[in-house]
Amino acid sequence: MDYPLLRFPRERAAIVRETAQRALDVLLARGAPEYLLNDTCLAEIRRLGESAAQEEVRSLGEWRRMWRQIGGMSASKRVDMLAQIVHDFTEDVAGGFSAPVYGLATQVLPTALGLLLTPERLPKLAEHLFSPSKLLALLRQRMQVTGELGTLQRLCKQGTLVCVPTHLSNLDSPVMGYALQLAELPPSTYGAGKNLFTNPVLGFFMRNLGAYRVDRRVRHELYKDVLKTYSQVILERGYHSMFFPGGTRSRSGRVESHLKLGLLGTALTATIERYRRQRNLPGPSAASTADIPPIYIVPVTINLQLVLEAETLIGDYLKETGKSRFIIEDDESTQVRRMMQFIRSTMTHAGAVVIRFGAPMDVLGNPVDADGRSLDPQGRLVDLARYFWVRGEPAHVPQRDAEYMNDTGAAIGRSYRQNTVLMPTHLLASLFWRYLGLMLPGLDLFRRLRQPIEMSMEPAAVLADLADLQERLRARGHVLGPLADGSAAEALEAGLTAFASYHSEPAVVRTADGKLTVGDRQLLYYYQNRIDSLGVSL
Amino acid sequence: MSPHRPTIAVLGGGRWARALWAMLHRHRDEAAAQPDAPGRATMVIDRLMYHRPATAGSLSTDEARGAVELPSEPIEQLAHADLIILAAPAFAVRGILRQASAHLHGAQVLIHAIGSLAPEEDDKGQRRLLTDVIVAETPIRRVGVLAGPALPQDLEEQRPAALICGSRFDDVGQLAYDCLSGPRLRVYTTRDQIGVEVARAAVSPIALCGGLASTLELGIAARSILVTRGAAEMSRIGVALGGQEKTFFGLAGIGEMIVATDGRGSADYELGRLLATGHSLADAQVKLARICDAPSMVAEATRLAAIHQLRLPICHALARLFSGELHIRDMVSVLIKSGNHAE
Repeated sequence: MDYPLLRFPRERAAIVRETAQRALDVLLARGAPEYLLNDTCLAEIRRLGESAAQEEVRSLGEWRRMWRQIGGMSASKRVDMLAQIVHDFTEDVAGGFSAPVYGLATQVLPTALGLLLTPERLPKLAEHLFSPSKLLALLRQRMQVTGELGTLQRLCKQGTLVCVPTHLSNLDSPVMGYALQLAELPPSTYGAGKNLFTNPVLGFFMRNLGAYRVDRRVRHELYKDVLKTYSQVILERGYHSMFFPGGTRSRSGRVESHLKLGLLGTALTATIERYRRQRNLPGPSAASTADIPPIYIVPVTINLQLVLEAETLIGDYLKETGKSRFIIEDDESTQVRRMMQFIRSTMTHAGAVVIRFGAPMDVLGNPVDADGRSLDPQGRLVDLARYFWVRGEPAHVPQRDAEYMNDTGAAIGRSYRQNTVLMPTHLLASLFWRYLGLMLPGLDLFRRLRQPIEMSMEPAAVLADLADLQERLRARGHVLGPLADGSAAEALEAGLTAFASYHSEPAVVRTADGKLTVGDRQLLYYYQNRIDSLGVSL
Repeated sequence: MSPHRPTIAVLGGGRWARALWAMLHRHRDEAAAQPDAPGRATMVIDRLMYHRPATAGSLSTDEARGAVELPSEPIEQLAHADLIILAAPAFAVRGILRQASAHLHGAQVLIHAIGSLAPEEDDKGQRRLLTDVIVAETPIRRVGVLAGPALPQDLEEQRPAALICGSRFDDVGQLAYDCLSGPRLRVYTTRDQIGVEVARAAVSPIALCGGLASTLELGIAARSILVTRGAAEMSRIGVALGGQEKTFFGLAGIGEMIVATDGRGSADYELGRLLATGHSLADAQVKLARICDAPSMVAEATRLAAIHQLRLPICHALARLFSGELHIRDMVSVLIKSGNHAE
């Protein structure tokens, strides 16, 4: 299989060079070097003074020394210093790709996952090792990939795919990597939190599988410009990409609606650049004149029956410490035992993970047909290039383009809601959260989470409500996962089993007398948020 | 380099469309006399007159929905327009757009100058903003809304007037400014597209109340109260829909309301006058035989009030009046006695 990332090792140096030069040009067009240097040095000094170093571009002492030197430098020295900083940050961000490591990963990861998924057959370990196709078949039962795969397989040959998945867990990146493989789509480059690279095994694979490093602790404009320029350069060069537009894992369990469009906006600027190059108009880089392929946005929903870090995420959300703990470094994903337990308990059920690829769209959120041509809301062909015209020529207009991106973000949000696959855990949590509300009327969220209560629900009543909920969700066009789409009794059993198989205190439990009651209410709230965020009122 | 001269099309056949069209022609003539003046339209596509087929029946919105035919030749010229100004009755908008959209494209800007919400599409009773209908029916993304205290006769007689263009896109506001502003017309811009659109649409109930107040000879203080409290009431609807409160206290809100309650012949004002003389709503509409937006706006306002928990005393009183639950002589006292509220 031929795919763009295969040429990344050959192009990496040129990509870094082009990114650094273009980012420097952007910065110098915006302000004087002394101010840019001053802002960057002070921001780094403040950041490193407050948090631990983590494979930093420069040490705290070096930033301090540089800051002291800025005033006495000549203008040309300042530009040189700025260029060096930009280059160093670009090197820090830039990813890598190794075809042998990718080959290894595509063999090892499914086999390892497959073994983890079949704990009941461990005595047959040797047999499995010698028949990886069986393991792959098992894995495909547990992790299902659905959606517009045929169209995407076609479009990826003529253009660049930008996958924008929902984000629930730190496992989403490897899961998406494997989902692309299952979908017979090419591997993509993607931005991953720098903290994830500190794990030597994970870091090794990520460095060699196209991931580039995003340090979300660094907030100064210079770094943001480097990141955006890097993203734009690789899109212009036709590398398939992946962003998590939610920015971080959904703390509440809700389907993302407020999307961060900064990096995604590089798809739009790269598209305008494509049309400018087609007309030989001057661009940001004299070095690059090659044609830019069309770019297609592909919303993807990652749907998990259980979420590895659910307890930590919802706890963090409820404590309203989301900002201060923007990067959680001590959740379940850092605990090997919990992770193994999670993988086994989650993935021993068929359809416990469903990756659903939504319909592709252009950078303005217009749907595209099977040939990648943009369509208007009535399904008529439209000329995408004209949306960027200023007096007949494609041009960058920042305010217009920001509004266009808001439209794209809204279209992605709509796709998320249409393509969210609901699991039995979501259905059960939704029902029992409603029962709580009925038993504790008028209480706010936090009282509903804490007020002592004796709940004992007859299974027959729950089954009737569950069937009603399934029917309503189907009537509204929502997608029910394989375990949630059966009879109410099957969905109930699947939900109870899933909750009991991983979480230390399940969200819904069956009591000794066969009745049903609530367990961990925070988890209940977390899992019901999935349905609540779709606007389904019970 | 010669200045850019946008091409403008006016879609609509009413007095407001004709007044805009005539003004743009004047601008074109002025531009011809000053070849270096920037931002003046040098070409105005003749207004695209729509006509109602004989089968369209009366002016009721339901019957007239989509019953619009556009002449084929001028509509093809739409493809060459940079700016399209839509000034047609709300009931005709969808039909016009469906026929025109084959000639429209993403480089164009469409600004509507319609003081109404879109007609209901289904039996759910929900109405949409016209800008949403434009985006749903055409390939055009960059849309805007014109509002403000400028009447057709002001443009025709070249009396001082002002308009505000609301658009999320700065270049749309700039284009409106470049094309429309002149020695007698000042054009303001704002990004609060929703606010301008709702404010303009929400003027109709206040205009109706102006007609009532005038016939009942309630005096200038009543009119002042009507305008200021009407703006406050309508701003609650606008904010609930995503607009900004301050827009309702500017040209698009109070500015329009002052004009609308002045008695210069708007259909809703005249409807209010007929209601004040004891006609039922149905009788008044038949007698007036003009399109009035106030009844549907009141219905939409009360629907939104229930959803968003809004306090809309004027709209609620009008709703009761329309349904016959409240007599006209009791309406003023109901409004005056509506409880103690901080302004």
